[in-house]
Amino acid sequence: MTTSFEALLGEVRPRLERAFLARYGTQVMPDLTAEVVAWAWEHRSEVEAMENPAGYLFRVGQSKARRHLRWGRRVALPVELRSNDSSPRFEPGLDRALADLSDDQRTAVVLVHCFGWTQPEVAEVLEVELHTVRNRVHRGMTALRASLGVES
Amino acid sequence: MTDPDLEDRLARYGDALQEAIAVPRSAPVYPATGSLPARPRVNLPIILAAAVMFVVAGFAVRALLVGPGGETTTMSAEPEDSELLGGADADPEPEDSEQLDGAGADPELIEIQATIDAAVETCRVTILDTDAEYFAAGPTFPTDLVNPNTLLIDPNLDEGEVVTIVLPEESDLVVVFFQGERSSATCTVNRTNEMQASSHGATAIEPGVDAAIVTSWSGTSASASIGPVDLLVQGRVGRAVVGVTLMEGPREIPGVIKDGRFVVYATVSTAPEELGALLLSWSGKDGSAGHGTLEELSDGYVLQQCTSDALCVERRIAQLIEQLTQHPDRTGQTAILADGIVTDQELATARESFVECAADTTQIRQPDDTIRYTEPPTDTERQAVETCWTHHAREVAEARDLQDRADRVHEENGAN
Repeated sequence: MTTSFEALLGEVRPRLERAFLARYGTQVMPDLTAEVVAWAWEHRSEVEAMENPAGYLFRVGQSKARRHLRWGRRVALPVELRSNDSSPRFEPGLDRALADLSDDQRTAVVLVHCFGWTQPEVAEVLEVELHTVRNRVHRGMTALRASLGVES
Repeated sequence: MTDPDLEDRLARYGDALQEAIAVPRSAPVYPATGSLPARPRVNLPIILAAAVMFVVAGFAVRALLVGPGGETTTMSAEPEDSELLGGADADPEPEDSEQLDGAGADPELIEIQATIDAAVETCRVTILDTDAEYFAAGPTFPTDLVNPNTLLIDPNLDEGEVVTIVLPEESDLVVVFFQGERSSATCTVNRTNEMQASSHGATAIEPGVDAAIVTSWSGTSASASIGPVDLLVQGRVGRAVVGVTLMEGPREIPGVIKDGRFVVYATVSTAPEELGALLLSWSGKDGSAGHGTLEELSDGYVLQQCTSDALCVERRIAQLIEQLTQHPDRTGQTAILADGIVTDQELATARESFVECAADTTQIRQPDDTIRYTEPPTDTERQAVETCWTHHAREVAEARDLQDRADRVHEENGAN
């Protein structure tokens, strides 16, 4: 059972890391992922039998994330590094704009546009309907454009 | 910038996010306990508030129907105190007769019972999260820690009566605050359990209980316990004490007062050698304040006497890290959770960072494994030490716990 669980974890964990990073930022993601993995190991027999373990574990992470967010911790994302400049310079606009999005919108936008997930993949992990993901991406991108002054 | 530019920019930013994921960390592992819970709920505070209001309403109606001589608990809300109830706007007289059954009405709920062996005047039920930072509860609740799901009720309890509190399954703690004429008590009950407490005497801590219990009160004496009962810690202070906090890691539990003599029974879930630092702080009636640690003696742990302006923090966490570092090869065992278990290198890093953290934040150096202040610590310094301790002690202790479970799995596999 351990081997199969490891295989399951190897498939699910990267998705959880990206989903948690998108939703809770870089500071919360590592600890939260570790907590969820530990929980999954504790309940590995049940997790292995689940139809959508990634979706369930994401929900587990949402519950466990409360302790990290209780003190009003702001979502922390890496500072964007300008790539079209020979010298390393930071361009803080994008990460701040993403952090200002709602949690749902940021999660959808980051997973789709930063990590290249398909919308059905996002819907599966978040356990929401496909049209919900579509709306969150659309609204999140609209807010990003407004925040960054992008011409549509 | 145009829309395609934004999408390109997001895609490039994804590389930075990937790098953030790839950063190696010695992430703490928090082993879960208990059975598989129901589907996690995001709006748990709302559910808890509703549950408490539901129970209080049930008690109120039961009190009206059964009367004070009945066998069941009689708790009724005091409308005039409703402003103290926080978010509670429970109707003390629900019209729905189905609520009379209280705990049994909802299959999602479980019962928690506390037996009171002395009359108390009022009873405040507070739902607290199990998270350590919310665990602080005592005769005086810090206002910023009190969950709004607080109810003030008048149980009219007589000796031997049972308080029945209802908690949502797999959820949080209930803290019951009893207020008498000259004394008060706080009882914290986790999950289904039975607890005995007195408002004017020593509490009887039942060994072997399988859930966390904390009882304390002021006036004459009090004691505190948190289970499972693996270790008894007792401390004494030869001065008048008006408030004591015992900190075991990030967890604070209320302390003890008894004629200048401090007694605390703290049971922790770890073995004595893995205990780490137990930090005590107290304040005296004369305005003095002190801090100390619990020192291990042959018959348990006794408070190490410290002057009112000294803080002694035993560095047992360093010893624990040493033990883990010297642990035999765990190569095969770490495979269970791959990078979920800390490696020796990570342990060494954790130890270094802890020492650096404590040293940097307290402006001191330690010739040995003891941090000592020669002057009263500032709040910032104390918080820094607690923060360092919290992060690294929890990280290592929980990794150790996971390691133990990994050991058991290997033993089982070997047996098979």
